[in-house]
Amino acid sequence: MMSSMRKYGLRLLLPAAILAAWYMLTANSTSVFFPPLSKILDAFVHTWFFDLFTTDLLYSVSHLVIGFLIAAVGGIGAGVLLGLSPRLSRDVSPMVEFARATPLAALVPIAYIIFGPGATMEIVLIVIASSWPILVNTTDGVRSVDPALIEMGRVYGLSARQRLRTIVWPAALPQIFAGLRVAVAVSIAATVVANMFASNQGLGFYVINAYQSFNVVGTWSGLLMIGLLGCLANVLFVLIEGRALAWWRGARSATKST
Amino acid sequence: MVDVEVTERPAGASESPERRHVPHHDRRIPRYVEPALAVAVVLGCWEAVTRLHWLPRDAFPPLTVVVPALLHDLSNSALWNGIAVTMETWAIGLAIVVVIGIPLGLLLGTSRIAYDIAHLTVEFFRTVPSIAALSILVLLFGVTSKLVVVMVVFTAVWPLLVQSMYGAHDVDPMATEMARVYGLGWRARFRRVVVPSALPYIASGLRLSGTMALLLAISVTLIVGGQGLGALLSSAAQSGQIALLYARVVVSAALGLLVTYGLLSLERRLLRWHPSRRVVV
Repeated sequence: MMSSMRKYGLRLLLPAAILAAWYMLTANSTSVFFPPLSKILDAFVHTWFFDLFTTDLLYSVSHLVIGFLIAAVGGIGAGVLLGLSPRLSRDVSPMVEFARATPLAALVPIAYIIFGPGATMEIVLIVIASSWPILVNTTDGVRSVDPALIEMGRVYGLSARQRLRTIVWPAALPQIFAGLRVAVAVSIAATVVANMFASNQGLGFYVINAYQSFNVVGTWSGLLMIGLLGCLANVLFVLIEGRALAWWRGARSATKST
Repeated sequence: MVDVEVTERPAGASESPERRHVPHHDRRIPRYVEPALAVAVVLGCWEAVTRLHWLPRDAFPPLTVVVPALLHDLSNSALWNGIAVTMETWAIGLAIVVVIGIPLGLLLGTSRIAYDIAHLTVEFFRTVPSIAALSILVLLFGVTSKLVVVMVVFTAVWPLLVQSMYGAHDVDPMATEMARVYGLGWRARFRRVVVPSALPYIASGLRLSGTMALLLAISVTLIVGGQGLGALLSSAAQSGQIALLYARVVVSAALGLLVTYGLLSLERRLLRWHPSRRVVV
């Protein structure tokens, strides 16, 4: 117990030190680019909890959530299909590889022309960007299920659907979560990039607009908000993952200790 | 809270040969025929749908319009200049990432205390979309290639750092103990035990960082302008030359494939000796 407290204490030490150093180093700063942290925090609270809460913050967060959920459902569905059928996955592999290798930034202007600026374009880009890690990891996870287990299910008379639900799904879940985890980070980045390129509201728009009007304090506060959003999304995800995979970690540590 | 357990696996770690085997229904048909047919069908459908005006023509140009635009653009020095600028910033950025990420990651991974202290912070920086920092950095550096390189380094350093850290952290304690018993000093242990056993992690980290660096090199000039492939994409979009835009997206995708497969083959070469790659005969 003591040692785990020490461990978490140590982990929080560095972020705390960085914040403290930032605060002290900029306390009396007159530099245009590095305003005092206290000023940034003031602006941060004002901007994000009062002025722009619904127009920019909720706007971006809702797109992020919608896009991520669509990507999760689509990516997992397609990934299971590709994982179950080696032939299908071989046949579409040139397309998948090509699409995966295309940098998201290159698709931003195309989405802009097709959908125009606004919510649809942003959600489409988030879905495209975050589908690939989910798809690839799901395919991998499903494909590497031990064939002997599936065979055993067949011998025990399980239907294809039952085998999928009771054997393939649990076995692939850890890897699916690994893909979802990558997708969380990717989808936040996609939200910001799509928003920066063409929009008149949202987090990415806010920082770009602040930069273009030389509002340095605003730029920093937007940066902090995006960072905080990434951090929160990550913590939330780790909690969900811990819950969903508790049985797996338990089984793993049991086999490790024997 | 739980530890981060699932990281990007070193490529090939679990790909045993029999899993990659695709069953053949007919031995006489070579294995590349079906994928090639699938590509042809998709491209054919694209051409048909756009020619029949089922999709708005000003947003979806037919294939037979994009290909000539691509060929024409390939003889344009502006495109090659943009590619050169983008790949140059990519290469410089990635080189800096390698020089910083690998040694720092290995050091943080070998020391228990350093690992505990740095772990959370590094994970935080890894997930935070650093593209947001663009707005501050552009104030500091202006629209220059220095800006692009700094953004590339700032974003792409994390995957390599994290993978090197996990790699060094995951070294089999038995191996370290054995090296100690055999009287190897700290430096020799590092070189002969830590580095080789972390190498698969480092290699997959390098692949992640490499593709991320390209994404950033293109994104930055897409948003702030200047020189590079990103700026060429946005100029094609803004002047409404839709076929040209598609052509340049194809060029970006080709660069993406080049980077991915280049780093993958480097990885294979580096890890030829590694147990996870040896095929049991």
